[in-house]
Amino acid sequence: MLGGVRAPTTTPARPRPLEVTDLLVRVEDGRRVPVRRADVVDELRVRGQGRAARLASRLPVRAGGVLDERAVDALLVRIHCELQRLEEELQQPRRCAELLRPWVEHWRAQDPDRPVRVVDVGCGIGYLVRWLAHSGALGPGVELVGADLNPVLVEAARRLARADRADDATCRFVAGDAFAPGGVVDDPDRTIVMSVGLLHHLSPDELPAFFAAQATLGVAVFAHVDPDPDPLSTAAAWMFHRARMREPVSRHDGVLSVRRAHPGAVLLDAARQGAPGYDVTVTDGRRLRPRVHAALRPVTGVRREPGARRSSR
Amino acid sequence: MSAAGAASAAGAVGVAVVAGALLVLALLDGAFSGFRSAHGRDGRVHLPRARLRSQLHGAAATAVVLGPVVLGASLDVVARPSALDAYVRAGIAMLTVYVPYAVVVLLAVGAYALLDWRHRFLATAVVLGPGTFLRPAVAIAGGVLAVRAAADGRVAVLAAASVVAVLVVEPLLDRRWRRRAPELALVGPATDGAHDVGAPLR
Repeated sequence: MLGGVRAPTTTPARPRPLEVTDLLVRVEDGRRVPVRRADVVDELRVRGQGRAARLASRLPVRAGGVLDERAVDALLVRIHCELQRLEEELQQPRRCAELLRPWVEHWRAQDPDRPVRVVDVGCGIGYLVRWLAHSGALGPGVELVGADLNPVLVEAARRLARADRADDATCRFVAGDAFAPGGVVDDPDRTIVMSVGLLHHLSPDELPAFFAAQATLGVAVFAHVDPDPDPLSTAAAWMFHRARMREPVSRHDGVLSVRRAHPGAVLLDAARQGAPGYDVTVTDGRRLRPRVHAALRPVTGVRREPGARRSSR
Repeated sequence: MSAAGAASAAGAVGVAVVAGALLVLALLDGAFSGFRSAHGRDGRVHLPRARLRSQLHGAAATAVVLGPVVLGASLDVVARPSALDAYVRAGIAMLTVYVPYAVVVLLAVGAYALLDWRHRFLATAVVLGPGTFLRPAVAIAGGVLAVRAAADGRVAVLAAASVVAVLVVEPLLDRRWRRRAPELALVGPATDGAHDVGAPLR
């Protein structure tokens, strides 16, 4: 269902804007490689992002103009901690729990002894997973897994889970690619793959492959929560980031997240293309109406034939 | 009690009410500043004691930075008893701005504390977030009205100083947090999975 029908975006005249944090960590062949600050600044300038380029030009470097990895890691953790605060205030974990609960309860009623798994891809420091573990909002028999490409954030999530006294058996974190979440999906018929604030990091061209990765595994449900783009949402994001975020990079990237988020029509098209065996739903708010009911909205896909896995896209 | 004595007593009560109300609002604002400054530093899920501690720190920091202003005003009134009326006028002008703002914010905080999560979301989205965003403007507006109402140079300077003092509390606390850098505890050497850098999940 797609309210307020909008045409899918066409190829933009200018390159898609990037968040500063998109450029700070580079992984090649499974290893983190040095990132030159000048390259980051140039990349942002080429895209016409003068403010982002200025923010990047202030990042600390070591010999050879290479970004100081430890400072970058500390910045990323600070940003995620700030983001966690915003998610907490805006009740995002509770909203996600409400979104997931009907499927979890349905499967639990079918077979109470067989665990249900929720995989949060792009989990950052794992706030949602840790909150779900801490609150028990999904009830018993739920395994929670957080995955993120950045091993520093994964390690931070593990440390925080220990500090939160989360049970290792029900709450764990792994480093890995959201496009290849196979290792954390053992029982696709009882697995939900989800994310919060991940989709806008992907270009429209990458979206079908992202959804296809989950369809190929045959997971029963995917649910990805992301901002509903609208000028009023962007204005609200700007105000909230001024009020709540301290890091200039957080403020810049947070507003850009909403500005470059994909319209529902683009997500619907990509999900249907990448996961044709799924019933896909995304509901956008009406244009230029305040989203006072929710800051983010989900795109959900429910596999049509339970038990039947797709071998390939 | 004579009429003059009664008027004097009523005046003293009025001064106490205005000064007390301003002090309570300033300390409350400080408590919220302390909370905002501490919130989002430590990624843990549940930190009730740390939150209370941050609020007490904020209120204490406000008391410290406002101390010189209160002392200056007290000494000025002792030296110039006639200036008391100007202070009361300035205080009332501030309260006309700060009390409605505080009532709205406190109602929203009460809703956040007591109601279900949907109403918490609304309290944040509609009041608490915008309230924080508007807070500097509200503080300055109260200061400007106080300066105009006082029509007295020293009172105006102290009114402006009180606004500055309240507004610097959060940046001062933020500086302290930056020095403590709690995030560094989360980015040390990995304890396990140190080499699973970006590999596809197995």
